[in-house]
Amino acid sequence: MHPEIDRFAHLSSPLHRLDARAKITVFLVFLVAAALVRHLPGALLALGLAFWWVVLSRIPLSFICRRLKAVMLFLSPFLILLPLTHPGGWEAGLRQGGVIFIKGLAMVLVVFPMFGTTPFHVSMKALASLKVPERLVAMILFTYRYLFGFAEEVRTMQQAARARGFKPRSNRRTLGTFGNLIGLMVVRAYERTERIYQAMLARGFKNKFGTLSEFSFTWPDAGKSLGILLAAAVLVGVDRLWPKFFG
Amino acid sequence: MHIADGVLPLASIAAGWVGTGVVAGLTLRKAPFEALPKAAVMTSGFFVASLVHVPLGPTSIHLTLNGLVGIVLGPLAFPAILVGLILQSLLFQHGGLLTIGANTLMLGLPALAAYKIYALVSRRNFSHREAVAGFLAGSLAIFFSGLLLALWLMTAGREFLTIARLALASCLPLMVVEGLVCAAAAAFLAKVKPEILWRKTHAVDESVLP
Repeated sequence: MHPEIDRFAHLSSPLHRLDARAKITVFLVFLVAAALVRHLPGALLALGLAFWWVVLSRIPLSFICRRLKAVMLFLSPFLILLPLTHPGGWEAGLRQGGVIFIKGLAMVLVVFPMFGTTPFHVSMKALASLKVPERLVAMILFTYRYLFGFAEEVRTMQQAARARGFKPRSNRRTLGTFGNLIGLMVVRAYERTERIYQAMLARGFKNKFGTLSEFSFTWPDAGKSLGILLAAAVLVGVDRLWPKFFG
Repeated sequence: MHIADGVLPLASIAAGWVGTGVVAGLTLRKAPFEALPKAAVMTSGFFVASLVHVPLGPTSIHLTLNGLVGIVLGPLAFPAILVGLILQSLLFQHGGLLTIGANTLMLGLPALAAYKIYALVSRRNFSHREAVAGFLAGSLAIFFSGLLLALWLMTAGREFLTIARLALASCLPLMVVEGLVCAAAAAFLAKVKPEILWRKTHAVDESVLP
């Protein structure tokens, strides 16, 4: 498990230097524009733009490709099944499945320049200053904070089970063992909640989070943001006008 | 079980966010602020537990565990699942970013139902009631999620009917797997640390009870 989306946040690129609040906002606008796309040329344009931003962000492609497996798994049923089941024939199904697949891929790629170029806690602070409810942001940060320790603990538990000769198979016994293992995990998390909370209070936690980073929105930020917004507008424009001229 | 970006039309995405905002607001507003760090630590534990690979025939799957989350966290299961899905989307790119709203309704509402089912069944007096209630809560949570998944796909257009049916059918083996895991976990918790289960006292705080 590699939960570090921000593993390459320390690099330097035009996207790394973009103000985190602006980055999240304008890429969100682009994602909405991409969701509006209905035709193949628009989907391909979205994919091209997303890929260009990924290249600009200098995040290694090997890191990204490893993370695309899951989304391929969720999107490929549409590419395979829509041609077989579309009421308008296989050609219409293939076209629609292709648009969904390419669009989906483009939208996942946008996540890397959007959240991979800022340290995670700074992204969360940016969300809070963008009026995402404070309680939600606090919960995300806490959950994130404890993921790493618990992941280590699950690994230890699985190792212990293997050392006792446990081999996972598709049977009731295996599922029962997993149930107990998960139950134990929940008990451990529960036993820790009280201690963690008291430790936080002892360190002066006043129901608020602070970070040392400050945001500043500068002229280059404005330029880059406008560029991305313009790309979103062009994307919707191309998608709406293409069938009129070429369809 | 996730809906990726690129599948749903914008209207469904907006509806998902509105529904999630309303339910999350209702369940979070009642909670005192100090309940949140504790619920978050539990969320973290569930998140990690859901990453365990479980073999199923020739392949392996990740558990959803939304039924178990409901049993343990009660009403706070909904924001817990919202947070879990946000992190899954941001950290692993499982499920889309715009579809977080739709996905949270799909998994979170069944978690609330599981909490009610578990409370109703485990209150009765018969042998192995914790395990039976756990099985029902775990497997029905998956069934309801499958139904909601099919409904979301139907909002994308009539041509998705067959895919929606297939998605629902593929839930049946998952129902058995999640039901058995949830049954074992519920029986384990009832034996080892009954105060964790929401119905007795509960995991977070007295004052959060609806």
